[in-house]
Amino acid sequence: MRLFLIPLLVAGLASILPAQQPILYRVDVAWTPEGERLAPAFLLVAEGKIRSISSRAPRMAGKPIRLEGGIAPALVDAWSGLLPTDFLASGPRSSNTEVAQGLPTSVAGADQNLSSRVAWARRGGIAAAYLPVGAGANLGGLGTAVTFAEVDLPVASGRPSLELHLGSATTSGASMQGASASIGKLLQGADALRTKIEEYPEKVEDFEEKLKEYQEKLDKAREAKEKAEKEKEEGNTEEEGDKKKAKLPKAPKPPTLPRLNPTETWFQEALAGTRQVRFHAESVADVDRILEWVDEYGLDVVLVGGREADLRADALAEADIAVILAVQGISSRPDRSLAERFARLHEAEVQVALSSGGSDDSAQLLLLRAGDLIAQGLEQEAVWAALTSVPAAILGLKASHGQLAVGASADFLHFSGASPFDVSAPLRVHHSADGFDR
Amino acid sequence: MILSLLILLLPQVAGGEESFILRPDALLAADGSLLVGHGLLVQGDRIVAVGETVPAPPGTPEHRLVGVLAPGFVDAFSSRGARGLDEASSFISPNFRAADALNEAAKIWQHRLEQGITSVHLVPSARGAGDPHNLVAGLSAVVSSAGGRDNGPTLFMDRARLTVSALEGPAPSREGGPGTLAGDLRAWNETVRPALAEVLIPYPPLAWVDTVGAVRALRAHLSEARAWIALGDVGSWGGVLSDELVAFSAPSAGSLSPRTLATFGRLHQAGFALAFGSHETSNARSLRESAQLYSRLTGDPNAAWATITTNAAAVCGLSGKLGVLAAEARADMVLWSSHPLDSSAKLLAVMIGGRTVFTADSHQDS
Repeated sequence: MRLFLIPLLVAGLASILPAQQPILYRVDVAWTPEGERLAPAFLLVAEGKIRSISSRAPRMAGKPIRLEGGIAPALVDAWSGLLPTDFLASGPRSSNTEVAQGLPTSVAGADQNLSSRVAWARRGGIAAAYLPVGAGANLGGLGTAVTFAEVDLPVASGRPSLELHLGSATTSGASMQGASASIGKLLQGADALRTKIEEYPEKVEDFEEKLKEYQEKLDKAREAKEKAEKEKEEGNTEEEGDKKKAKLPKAPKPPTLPRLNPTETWFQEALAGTRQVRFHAESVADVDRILEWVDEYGLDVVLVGGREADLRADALAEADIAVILAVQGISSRPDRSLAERFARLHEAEVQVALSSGGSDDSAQLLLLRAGDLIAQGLEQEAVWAALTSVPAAILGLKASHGQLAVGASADFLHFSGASPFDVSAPLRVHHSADGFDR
Repeated sequence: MILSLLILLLPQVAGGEESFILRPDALLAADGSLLVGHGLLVQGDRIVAVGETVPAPPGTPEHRLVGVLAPGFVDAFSSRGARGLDEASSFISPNFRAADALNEAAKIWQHRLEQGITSVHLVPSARGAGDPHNLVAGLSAVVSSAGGRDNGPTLFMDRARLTVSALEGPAPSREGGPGTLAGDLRAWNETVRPALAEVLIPYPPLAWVDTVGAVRALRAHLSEARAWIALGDVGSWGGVLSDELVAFSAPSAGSLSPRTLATFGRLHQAGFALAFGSHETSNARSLRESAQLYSRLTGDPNAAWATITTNAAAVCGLSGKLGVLAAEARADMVLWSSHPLDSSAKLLAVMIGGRTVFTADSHQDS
């Protein structure tokens, strides 16, 4: 029989201590990076960050608060649906939509509906997430990674990414038809624009040369003109003067640097490899097209959805393309189950993240569905990484989330059972902003 | 926590009146806690004794099991695995029997075994195909997920509860029967109660309800052995059932709004005896997942455990017979690699009525 009450009581005490006060926890085991287990472990938390984690109590840190059971980093949902209420209510988004610009201010009551949804996601163990623009159009705009403020609202953090939806990942009929072709055209257009941009300095040099020549010609023309006027004044015949009248040279046209709208800017950044592109795609045909684009344009790509991504596992691994799978949906074919698809990708050494797939409901089930993958034979470490360190890296939050490490946010799960997957014993969430949830 | 290192499956017992002792690494008590060092004596299809020592005749075979032995899960109410549970001929059909609608060929029975569900309460629908409401929809049945012909489902109890309803449905009646709560209650007073006085007596009632008014009105008609299936926005009206035995549709993807989640938390705080039924979903996984989610929401694993075992058995009218490893209970058991509420636990084998009906490895081979 477990003694549930003791950790609840001490954690209750911890939750009412001043947030800025350093708190030292002693736990039976801590899940540290790379599958290591620190047992016992001392975790020093101050100002929402992990200040130290070690198997010995740090000096001068005071008496530790004892937590029975283990701790592990909180989850990172690489494909979430926690968008602002106004955002969800609005119609089709334009291609220059930026989710980060539409997030509510982090004050209580700014978006109560969203706060409620975020609160439940946080209780479900999620500490960071990625908010996509949506699946309405082939060109989806710019989504953003977020963490969560104390008032349960998302705060832009990490990496915003350009989102492109291929036909197999969109529900819009118009978008489904020819999505691949239209995205191909967008990339071609962006590539042509890049060529123009790259040629601009050369054209400027060329222009400067022509300008110099022009200046010289202009000077000569002026000299000739002045001479002609002087001769006229001195009484030379007009006819002769008219004949000698020099033509003024034509001024060279300066080259223009293309003025880019936000979307064009994001595409240029994508082609330069400085902007991550999240391709939403499900079918193997779409995955093949993405692989071609990566090869052609050298994009930094993440594949979102990827229901048939495992059929191209080796190619995705070679192209270093991470895949974000959703835990929702059930396949009637055992060979197409989430476990089978995950296993094939993992075996090929593709970086795989497990996500809610943009569903609040699945966010609640994320840990449970992931546990089911272990029951079906997947390695616990691989599944755990798919919920934490892999999505954190994809979202550009590697330093702050997905691991228990010095400097990381103090967002972690405290589990009393065998692992965070075990709900036969209480599991609570510690938030960097406001401590334990209950 | 005990983890299975070796898979020693449940013994292949042929049935009959043979006795055997099972000694797992741990077994699950009725409250969901693990008991280490306990054994269990099975005779025929029944559990005879459970304890650290079990009285058994000399020579009784004893089997060591690596893993956690748990009772099979009980689905508190479902319409899946049957054909035509919605009687359309009349708004009063007390003689309709869910047992007659059992579809032995339905694939869901196999899926249920794979999820550790050994008993399913098939309940006639209150929303008939003809009239919107079947005030008396007929008799429910409890079905074992396997053990029948070709290891298909088999009836465990063909007349479990009399299913009744009073619902505030928006749909008008096509046949002149009740279509609103007001119509339902009038029909109850004028037609149903006088006609069914005798029928209501032998079978404990199970009532579909979706409003406070329906619960208050039906309480006057139903015996103390009643149970309820709560529909609609329970968060706005469910408090009236706080001291009753109540079954809810298993929450699953698509229904987990913040309000739903908060509602379950509040139901727990109010001390509800709550059970989950898979209702109309064909996802057999939803039942265990619901209990796991309830554990997460409430921080009370024992209450969560009861939702798919003891409380669900009570909804079937079979407390002490199903959903528990105890003397006099039916020998419906599942061997897991660890506690079944651990989402990473692997189901190893299923026994129904003292017979092994499913093993994970043999299933993988097939």
